[in-house]
Amino acid sequence: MLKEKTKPSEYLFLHRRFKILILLLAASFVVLALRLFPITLIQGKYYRELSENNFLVPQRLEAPRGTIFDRNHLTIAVSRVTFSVYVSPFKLELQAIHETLTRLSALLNRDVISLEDRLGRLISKWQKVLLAKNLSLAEITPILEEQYNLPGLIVEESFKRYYPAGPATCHISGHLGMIPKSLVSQFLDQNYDPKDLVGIVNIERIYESSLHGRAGKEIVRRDARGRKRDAYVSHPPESGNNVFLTLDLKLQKYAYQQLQGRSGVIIAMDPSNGAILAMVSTPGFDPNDPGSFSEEGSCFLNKAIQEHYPPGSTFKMITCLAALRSGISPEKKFHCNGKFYLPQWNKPFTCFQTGGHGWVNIQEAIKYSCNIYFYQLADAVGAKRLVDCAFQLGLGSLTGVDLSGEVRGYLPLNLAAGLPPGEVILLGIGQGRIATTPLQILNAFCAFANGGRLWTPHLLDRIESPGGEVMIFTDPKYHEIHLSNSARSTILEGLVAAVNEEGGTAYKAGFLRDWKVAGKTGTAQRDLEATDAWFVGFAPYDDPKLAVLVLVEKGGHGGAVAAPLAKNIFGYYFTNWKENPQEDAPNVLSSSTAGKPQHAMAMNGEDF
Amino acid sequence: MRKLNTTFLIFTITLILVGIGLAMVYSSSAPVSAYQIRRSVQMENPQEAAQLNIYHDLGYLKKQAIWAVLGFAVMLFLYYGDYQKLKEYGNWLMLIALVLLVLVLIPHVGVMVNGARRWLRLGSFTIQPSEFAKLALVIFMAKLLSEKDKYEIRSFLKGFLPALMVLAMFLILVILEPDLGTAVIMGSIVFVIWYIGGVRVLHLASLAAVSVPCLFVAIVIKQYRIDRLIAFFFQDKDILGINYQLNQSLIAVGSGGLFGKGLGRGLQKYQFLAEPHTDFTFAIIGEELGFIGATLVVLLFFLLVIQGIRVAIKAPDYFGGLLAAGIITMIGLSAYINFMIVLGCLPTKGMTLPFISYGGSSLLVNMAAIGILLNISKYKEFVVYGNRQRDD
Repeated sequence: MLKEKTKPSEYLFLHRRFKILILLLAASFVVLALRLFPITLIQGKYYRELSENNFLVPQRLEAPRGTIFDRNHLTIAVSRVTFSVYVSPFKLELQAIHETLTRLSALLNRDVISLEDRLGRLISKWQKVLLAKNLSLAEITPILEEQYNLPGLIVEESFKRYYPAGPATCHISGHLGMIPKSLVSQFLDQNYDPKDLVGIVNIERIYESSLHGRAGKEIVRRDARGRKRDAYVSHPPESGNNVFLTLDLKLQKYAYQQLQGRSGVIIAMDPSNGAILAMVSTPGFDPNDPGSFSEEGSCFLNKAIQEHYPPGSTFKMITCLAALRSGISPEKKFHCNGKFYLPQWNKPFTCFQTGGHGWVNIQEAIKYSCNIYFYQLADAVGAKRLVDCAFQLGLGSLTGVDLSGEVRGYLPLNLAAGLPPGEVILLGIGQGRIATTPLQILNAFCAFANGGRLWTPHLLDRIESPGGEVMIFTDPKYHEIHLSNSARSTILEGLVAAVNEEGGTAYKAGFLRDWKVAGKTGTAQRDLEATDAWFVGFAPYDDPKLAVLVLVEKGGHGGAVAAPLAKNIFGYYFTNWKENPQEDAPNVLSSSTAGKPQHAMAMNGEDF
Repeated sequence: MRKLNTTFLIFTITLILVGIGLAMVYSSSAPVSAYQIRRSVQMENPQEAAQLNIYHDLGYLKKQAIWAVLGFAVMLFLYYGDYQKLKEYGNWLMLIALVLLVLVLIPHVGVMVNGARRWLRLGSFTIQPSEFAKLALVIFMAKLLSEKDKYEIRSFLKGFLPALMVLAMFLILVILEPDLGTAVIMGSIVFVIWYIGGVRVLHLASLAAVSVPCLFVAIVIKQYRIDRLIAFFFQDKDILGINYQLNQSLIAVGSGGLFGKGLGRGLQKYQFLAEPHTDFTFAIIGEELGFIGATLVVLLFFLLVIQGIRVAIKAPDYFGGLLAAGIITMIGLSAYINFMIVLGCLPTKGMTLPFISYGGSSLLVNMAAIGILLNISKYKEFVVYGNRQRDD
């Protein structure tokens, strides 16, 4: 049955080789036995000690998140150390655990003995039950002092984000939260832990990758009673990078105070580079406890960039610009008698001044904010040129500010040719088919103020490593818009008059002449019941350093409500910054960075 | 009586080892599986994970039990068959194994785990083609040598070179996965078959001389292999870093002492020792069953190998002898290397312990191999002596 090719000699050969193999086999098993025997029986006690008395427990070391600073090194968001207290059964007797819990109850001032049940149900002896978290250093110290009488105690450090300015910076800093479900895989790819908190919105979210530290790992040696003996840090935690903002926290807080109790927006910007010095939207919420927001749902809305408004009379600056560009003479006068009729339009468009302003030129029209003048101007310019000019100044498109959830606003770009005349003249005074965000309006004014550079508004100044090395410097972008000197000076004259001359819409607010403020009020109709009060201005008009926008929702008249607030902001800026020349905007960092390396200061200088 | 003894012993030892395996897979994988479930829930839904209380899970045990039943069926099937048929299928098995080894290298077909493509997905199961390739290679080599006469085997061109080329194909494919450890095992098994089969010692010695530098190059080109080698030579250094696993393994085996901590009472499987249910099951055996349990397992393997050699020597024909020798080398060598890794006598390397470690392909292939061995053992009594006498 077998097809045999085998030769007898081979069988013998095979046998001899088998013998060698069997010898090898026996030798190998002897080697194995020689190794197994000493490990288990002779060194067994040593290893058992290692196993039972020296638990090497890998433990995660949280890395502190980077701090967010304002331009004067004041803290906007910082990670503070907090402590959590756990108890783990390890190899403890029930009695010992009971004693530990009793003592901890007294130390923590709360009943934790009830947790004994949960401890008993743990299957692995390494698991731990949380007794208390977010304890401060003062609260944890008595426990740490007692720790050798508290077998089974585990104290873990963690970090809690704290926003010292509270609601004043809530729309800037953003806050932390669990990783959103949709982003889980994306974050886990970047070595995040599922339990990590991440920035949800705004600066915390946008600069998440810089702010987030890298968690480290330590291996803790614990003894039989679960007490920490020593620890070996295998991967030290790396703290996140610090983010420096262009924001001036004092100004921000001051602006927030101004709006307390009202719903509105204040933005302060440096017209020379688009750096935002303050941006407040009320009502706010406390980012230290984002769960406890007020009844008004809108508190999470940053109205400076996330809400649409008709710009009202503040838009008239743009109407003027469009008119001057289209060749209408700056000397051109229109008559205002209080009412304006369009052909085939049976209802008159009115000016707020019953009886009218009479014959007014462009400067007077801006000064008095004469609607009738701008109706006729808009009619003469035409919708296309008006909308194009607004678009060039950044209205109806994202400004690109480094905050979350900016909205675009609306300009009738495609409809411009077909707009009925009634809508066109309404556009001339910033009503009707137009919606802008306050930041867009302020940015347009900044472009006007600095002579035609439309900057991307930004909050980031620089990012520094924990060691103080500058990692990223802000590189603000701008694009040039066409703004002739003559047009600028013509309009500027009107803006100056509106603030500084008797009869100007903002005159009664009482801006000091020394400040050289130029601005425009606005009283915009968003619904039939109430008007939004606006003021936009910049100063000094011969060398603009600060541009401010104030918007009070349903506040009433711009000149009466918004302008006084703006006056306070300008006043605060000029009294606080002018008194101390070193603290003037361009060098504001140098006084507080005295201890910093020289190169950082040099680069700051270049930046401004 | 003798026939009953050998066949019965192999059968019994195999079943005992599979039984110990299932118990140990349960003991060592329950915390691992539970940890993985908690981890995956945490990834999908961090909020929910806080309330999750899973610390034991039978997922791995259930899968292993299914493979064990399957393996037992295959073992019985091969036992009642006729191993001579394998000679006819030898070429086909070799080709199928090669195709599988190529398939596993293709992205999206082969499953990538820890940077290596070693698995193919079949529904909720994964199979490891290199395990099947080992057995296919043993069968093929036994067939190749048994078809040649003494002079052909001793010739380089007619005997050694064709066999070497087939082996080279297997090894290259396996190294590409990359899985250097399995390649070394495969080479060693074939080496033993050749040696027993009568290939000239000169050829074998020169091959060994060539493969040492090749192995050296294969180690040097991958940083992690260098690290493992360094870790091996400095075992007491950096026990929290590169020697962490080895140190935990020694703690596991050593802390077991004479009697062990008791089945299921080990501590090292709780996130201290990585892979407690696959490559380091023996460490858990040492910890939970002690010196006695570990020695018992080693002795069972020793006995199995002795019985296997007996089958090989008494095999009715040349093919059967080589096949039995190859099979027993495959099982014995894997087990031995696994023991030595766990005890720190060889550099740390993923290598399953036959019958005991978690791993379906390994279990199925090893049980199938035992089926073949049993079959050879069954035939030996009534043909062997007549056959040999006739040839004599």
